[in-house]
Amino acid sequence: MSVYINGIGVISPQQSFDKNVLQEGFIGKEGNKWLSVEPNYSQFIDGKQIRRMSRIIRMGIVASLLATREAGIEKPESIIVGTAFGCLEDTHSFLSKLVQYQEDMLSPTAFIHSTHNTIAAQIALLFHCRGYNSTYVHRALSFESALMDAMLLIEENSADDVLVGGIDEITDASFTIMKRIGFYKESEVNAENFYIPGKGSVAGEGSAFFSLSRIQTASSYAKIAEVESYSFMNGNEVVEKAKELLLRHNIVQPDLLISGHNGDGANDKENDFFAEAINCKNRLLKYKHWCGEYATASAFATWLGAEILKHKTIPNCFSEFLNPDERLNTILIYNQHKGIHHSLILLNHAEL
Amino acid sequence: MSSSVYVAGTGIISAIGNNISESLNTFRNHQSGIAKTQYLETRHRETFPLGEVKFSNEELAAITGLKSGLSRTILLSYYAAKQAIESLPENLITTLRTGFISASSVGGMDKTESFFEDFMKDEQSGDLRKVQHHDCGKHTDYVCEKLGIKGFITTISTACSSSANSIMLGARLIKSGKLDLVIAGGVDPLTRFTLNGFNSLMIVDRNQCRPLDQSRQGLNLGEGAAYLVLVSNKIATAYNLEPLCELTGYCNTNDSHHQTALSDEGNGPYLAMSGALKMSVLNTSDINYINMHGTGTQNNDSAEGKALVRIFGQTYPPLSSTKSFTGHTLGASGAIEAAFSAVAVQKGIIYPNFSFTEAMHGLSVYPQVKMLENQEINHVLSNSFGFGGNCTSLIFSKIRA
Repeated sequence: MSVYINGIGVISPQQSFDKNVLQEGFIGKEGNKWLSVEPNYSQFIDGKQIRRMSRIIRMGIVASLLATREAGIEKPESIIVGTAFGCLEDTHSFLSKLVQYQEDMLSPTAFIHSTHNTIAAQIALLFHCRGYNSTYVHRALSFESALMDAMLLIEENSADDVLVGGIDEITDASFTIMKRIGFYKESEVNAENFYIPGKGSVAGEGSAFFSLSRIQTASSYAKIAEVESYSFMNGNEVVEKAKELLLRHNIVQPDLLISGHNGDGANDKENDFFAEAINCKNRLLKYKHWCGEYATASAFATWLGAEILKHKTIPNCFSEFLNPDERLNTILIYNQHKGIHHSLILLNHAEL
Repeated sequence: MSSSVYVAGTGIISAIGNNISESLNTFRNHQSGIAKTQYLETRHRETFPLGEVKFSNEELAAITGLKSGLSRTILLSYYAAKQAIESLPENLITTLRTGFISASSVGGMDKTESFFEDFMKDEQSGDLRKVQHHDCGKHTDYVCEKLGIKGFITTISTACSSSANSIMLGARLIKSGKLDLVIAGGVDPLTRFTLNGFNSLMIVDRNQCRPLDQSRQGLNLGEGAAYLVLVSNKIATAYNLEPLCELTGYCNTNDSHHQTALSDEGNGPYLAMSGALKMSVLNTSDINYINMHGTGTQNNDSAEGKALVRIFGQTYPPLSSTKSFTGHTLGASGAIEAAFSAVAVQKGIIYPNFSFTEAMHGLSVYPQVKMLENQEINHVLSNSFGFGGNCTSLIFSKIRA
């Protein structure tokens, strides 16, 4: 069974809503809080509606529109979203008013939009989509869970096409709290010193949606061969799982490993161990210096992998890392968080 | 050939009992678990009765052996999950390809609320240990680590249908052959966040809620956790398990009408119920009991009632909303009611509706008001609908000989 990626919409710290970014190249980000470069939303959504939507809903809606338009899908059959923290801005808004006004005189607006499933719900409303609809909120595996469910829907013939996305936002409060916990570096970081090992990474965010289908079309990027996630397994166990996964697909070695290095010493050690163990140390693409660290960053990685497989020559934005004329057929995406959560996404060239 | 999915165990804690047998006694004695809150620290204590679990965090911690500083979410989830796997042969969950799927709508919000009181005064203050419980996946990981479950673990959040969806996903993973055993369900604790949220929407009843009644004034919030152990028929045979029933149908749809209200005609509920019936290859007359979503809000009960009549006509089977006893446990309600439904099939039970006097005008929908036992129950339909239009229906059936 094959599942094709036929359309992609991405809003991220890069100008990714505009696919010209692939030829123009990514920009080197600076600072320690990398917010998304957002499009002019009024090009996509009615002004009255925009004002009612928090940033994460806007990012979700527009990425969904971009993905489905590219795939030529008028109305997705099913919608699945992965988000670790959901609608933080609305949650924070309702929570702070609750504390401030001591449980009195609260307006329901922020509460209504605070539930994690609001993004998938708003997308369903936009498309009048009454099909399967779900939201995964499992930390660093939220996007992978959503993707796994989407693949399963297609595999079991419950749907022909599925819109699936990974999305998380930074808010002022979440940034402050996560920084205090030690997720982010104290110092300013740029693309040059991003991978110098330290403690913590850089706050990132983004929204990446994919229109998946069992049918290959002219717009197909790649095939998703398999998605797996593993919790509470150590590095060696995950390497064994990865070898089994590759073997199932008759792959001796993937042509490229996209790896979730993020500049945090402990995190990168786990990623180095994995890359070495599957012999991919010299065919490695790191990406978090473009989008920052967030729980659903593997959705950004999936976009990159899909673009690399789609184009006959590798887009300029990867010129530093990849030979433009090299023909890649298989890409493995590995992400892990604190040695607790691990995930593998195997992408194949659409013609394979 | 895909396998059948059996329910091999249940774990449950809610306002009406700390396991199935206590819950059944409460139904039998017709006692609602909804009362003045003892543990939730809220200014609305005197205003809104709640379906509170009758343990403080300290008591839950002492019973489970966990630390009392943990979120109530973790404490309740662990309590119910451990109970669910108690009857399984030793080491079964580590021998098989086991998955754990939980669900929650607020995660560790009980601790985040407390953190925010300090954080709002000074952004550098507030005990970080509290806020680290915030996200919905935290309790899932905590419970899995304690129970020694590794491999496929995830968390779903689709508001009030959350844990019905974890059961549905668990069944799909078993049917597809990816897993042998799945512990699936969900949890939600009472929090000021949800109480005030629903209150701001003016859908919380100041008295005992009256689902499906003309005089209904809203819901009573509740709390709890429940998990089902799902296995394939092959595993049940191989390990001599004694399954309660089979999960024969499920369907997830979206009402796609409004963020917090169902469409008048109940399109999402209609599609969820009919989809589950179609999957089970059952006629409406085959269903012997329906556990309604039945929150007690004007909107839900009327939309659900209309969808019910669209499918079943006036010859609908006995039905009730057990939320009239437990309160609306949000992300846990799908699993709590799935556990009741599974036991209904196993033991031949029809559950009562606590408070009913007058049918909703324009809809002749009369719930069962007394508990019935020793009934011939072959198939039970359980509904869970939520904000965001998320609707899921499950069907539990007697295991075919």
